[in-house]
Amino acid sequence: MEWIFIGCTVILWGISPVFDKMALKAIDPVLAVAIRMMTSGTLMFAFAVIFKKTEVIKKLPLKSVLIFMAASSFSLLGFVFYFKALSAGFASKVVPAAAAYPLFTSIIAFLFMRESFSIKKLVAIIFIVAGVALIK
Amino acid sequence: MEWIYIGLTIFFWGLAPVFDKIALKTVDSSVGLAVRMMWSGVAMAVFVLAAGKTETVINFPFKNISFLFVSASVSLLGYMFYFKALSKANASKVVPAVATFPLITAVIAFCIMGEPFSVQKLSAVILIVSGIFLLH
Repeated sequence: MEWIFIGCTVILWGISPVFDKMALKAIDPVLAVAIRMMTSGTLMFAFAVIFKKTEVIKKLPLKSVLIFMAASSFSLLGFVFYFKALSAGFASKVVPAAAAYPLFTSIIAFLFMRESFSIKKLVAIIFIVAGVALIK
Repeated sequence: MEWIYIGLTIFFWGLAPVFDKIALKTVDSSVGLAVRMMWSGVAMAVFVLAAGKTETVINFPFKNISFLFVSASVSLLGYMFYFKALSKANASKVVPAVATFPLITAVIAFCIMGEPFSVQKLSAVILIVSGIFLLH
C-alpha cells in the first residue's frame, strides 16, 4: 500500500519543479521559497479549519508538536544552505550532490531508530542516488 | 565553499525525515503535515518581515506568484502522500524511493518543454528503476 503513496508523491513532486522553474524567471530564489512556504502554511491552516482538525492540533502532545517543528526547521535550514550552495557553485554540481540526502536519512534511521539495514538496501540507495545524480 | 553548504544541506534534509518518522508514531499524518507546514509558513513570514522584504514580495509579478501557488499546492499534495507512506513504512525505504521524483521532472521536461534526452539520462532511468526494485 505504501508504494501507491510513494508513487503519488513522486509524480506530484516531479511536476512541482516545472512550475518553480517558470516562476523563478523573475523572482529571487530565496523569496520564492518564502512565498512557497507561506502558501503551504496558509493552505494547511485552511485544511485544518475546513476538516475540523484544529481541535486535534490543539490537543496534540507538546512533544509531537516540537518534533514536527524541529523537522520543519531542519528542512528550512537545508533550503537556506541549498540556495547558498547554488549561489556559490554550479547547479549541475550542487543539485545532484544535495540529492544524496536519503543516504544520510537511512544511516540515521539505522543507527538511532533501529530500522533494518541490509546490503541490498545499501545497493538500492546507491543506485537511486547515482541515477538521480546522472539525470540532473 | 559550496561543498560546506552542500554538506549542511544533506545533513539537515537527511535529519528532517527522522524527526517526522518519530512524531508520526503517535500523530495522524495529515495533522502532522498541517503542523509542519504552518510552522514553515510562520517561520518564512517572520524571515520576510525581519529582512524587510515585504515590499519586494508584494511587487512580484502576479503570473510568477501564480506559478509558485500552483507549485506549492502540487507539492503539498505530494507531501500528504509522502506522510501517509512514512506512517506506514520505514523511513529508510520511503525517503530514497521518493527521491526519484526528478525522473518525473525530466520526463515532463523532455515531453512538454522539449529538453533533449540522452544515453546518460537513459542510464539514470535504469539505475533509478533498479534501485526501486531492490528496495521492495
